[in-house]
Amino acid sequence: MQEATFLILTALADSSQHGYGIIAEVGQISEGRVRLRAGTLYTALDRLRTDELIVVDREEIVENRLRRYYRLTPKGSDLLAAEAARLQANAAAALSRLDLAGGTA
Amino acid sequence: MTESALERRYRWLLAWYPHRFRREQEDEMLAVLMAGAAKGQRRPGLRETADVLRSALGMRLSRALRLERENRRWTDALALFSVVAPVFVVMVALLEVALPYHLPGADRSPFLFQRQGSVTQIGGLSLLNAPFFDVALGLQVIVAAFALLGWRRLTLIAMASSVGYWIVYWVVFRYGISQVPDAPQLLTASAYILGATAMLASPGPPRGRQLVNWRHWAVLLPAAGLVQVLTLVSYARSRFAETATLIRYDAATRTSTWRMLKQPDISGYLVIGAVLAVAVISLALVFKVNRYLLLLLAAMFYSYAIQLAFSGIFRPGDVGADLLRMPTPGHLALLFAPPLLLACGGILSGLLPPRPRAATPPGRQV
Repeated sequence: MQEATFLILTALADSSQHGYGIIAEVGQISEGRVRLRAGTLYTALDRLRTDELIVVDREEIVENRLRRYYRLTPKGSDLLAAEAARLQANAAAALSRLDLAGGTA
Repeated sequence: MTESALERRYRWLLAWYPHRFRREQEDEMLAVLMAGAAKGQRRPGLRETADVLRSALGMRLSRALRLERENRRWTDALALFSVVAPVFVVMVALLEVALPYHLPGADRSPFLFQRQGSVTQIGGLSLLNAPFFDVALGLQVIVAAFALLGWRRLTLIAMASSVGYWIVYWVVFRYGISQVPDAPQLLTASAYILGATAMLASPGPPRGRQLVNWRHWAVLLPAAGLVQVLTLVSYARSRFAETATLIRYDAATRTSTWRMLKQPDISGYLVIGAVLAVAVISLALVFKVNRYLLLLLAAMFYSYAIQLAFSGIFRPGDVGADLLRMPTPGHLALLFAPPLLLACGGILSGLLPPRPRAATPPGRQV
C-alpha cells in the first residue's frame, strides 16, 4: 500500500472527513512531511471507492460549496488494521536488529 | 456569486478529467482546490497544475484500460456463443431422440381418441422418420460442424439455410410437424438468431473455438438434459391430457364409452429437472463461466421458456394458450421480440463506439 493511501485511510479511521479535511488530517498525521494535493487525493479516493474501502457518508453545502464526507467501510478498516500491523512488525524487527547491532558494536 | 478568475482556471483544469468523474465530483474537487488556495491567488500553481493534469490523465487511461478489458470479455462471450450455441442445439436434438416418453397404454390401444394437438409419444427414434426432423437435424449438425471448425461464413450460410427450411416448413406444413415438439424448435430459432448476431458482432467461430474448453461442455450437457426434461414435463401436462381409448361401442344406441389413458406421473421428472438445474448453476459458478456468455445463453432460452409457460405447464390439459397453436402478431412479438432486440443491440454495439461501463473486480473467467 502506498504511503498516501495509508495516510488517507488513517485520516478516515476515527471519523468521516471531507476532501480538504483529509488533506489537513494527512498533514497533521505525517507532521507536515506529506502534503497531499487535490489531484493525488481524488485519484486515491476514486480508487478506494472502486475497491469498496471507503464510501460517501454524507454531503453538505458550506458557503455555496459542496462538501462530500467519506468514511471507511468495514473492509477498509480491516485492510488498514492489517497494513498497520504489518508496518508495526517491520518497524519492530528493524528496531530490534538496530538494538542488537548497537549492543555488539 | 460571480465566478472568480481562479475558479474559472481550476474548472479548465478539471475539464481534463473523464466526463463521469466531472459529473459527480467536479464541484466537490473545486471546493477543495479553492479551500487550499492562498488569499489573492489568481491562477493555479505549477505543481498544483501538474498534479491535477497527472491525476486526470491517469484516470482517463485507467478507465480506458478497464473499458478495453470489459469490451474484450463481451467480444469473447459473443465468439464463444457463436460456437457453443450451434453445438447445444444438436445436443438438445440428440437428447430428444435418446430420451423419449411414451404415454402408458397408448401402444396397446387400437382405438385412440386424440384431441387435435394431443400426442402419445414425445421424442424417440421415430423422430428420425418424422417429416421435417431428419433434414432439420442434418442441417443443425452441419452448422455445428462448421462452427467447431471455425468456418465463419459457411456457418452463417448453413445457419441461414436451417432457419429458412424451418420457416418454410412451419408456414407450409404447420401441422405436419406436430410430432416434433415446438419448444425446442423455438430454442433453435433463438440460438441461430443470436448466434448469427454473435458472428457478425465478434470474430466468431475462429476465436470461439480457441476459447471453448471442456468446462463449457460440462455446463451445457446437463443444460441440454434439463431442456429435454422440461419439454417432457410440459408436454405430459398439456398434450397427453386429452388422449383416451375406446373400451366399448354399443351399436344399438351408437354410443361409445371411452376411458382416459393413465396420465403420466411427472414428479420424477421434476426431481431430475431440479437436480439438473442445480448442476448447471453450480458448474457455471464453479467454472466461472464468462457472465456475458451466461447472459447470451439466458436470452437464447427466453422463447423456449415463454412457450413452455404458455403451453399448459401450469394448467394441465389447457393447450388453448399455446402461443404457436394459433399465433397472432402479438404472440410472435412476445416470443421473438426480446431476442431480436438483443440481436439488434449486439449489432449496434459492434458498430457504435463503446460507452463507459462500471468497472468489475478482476477474476479469472472461462
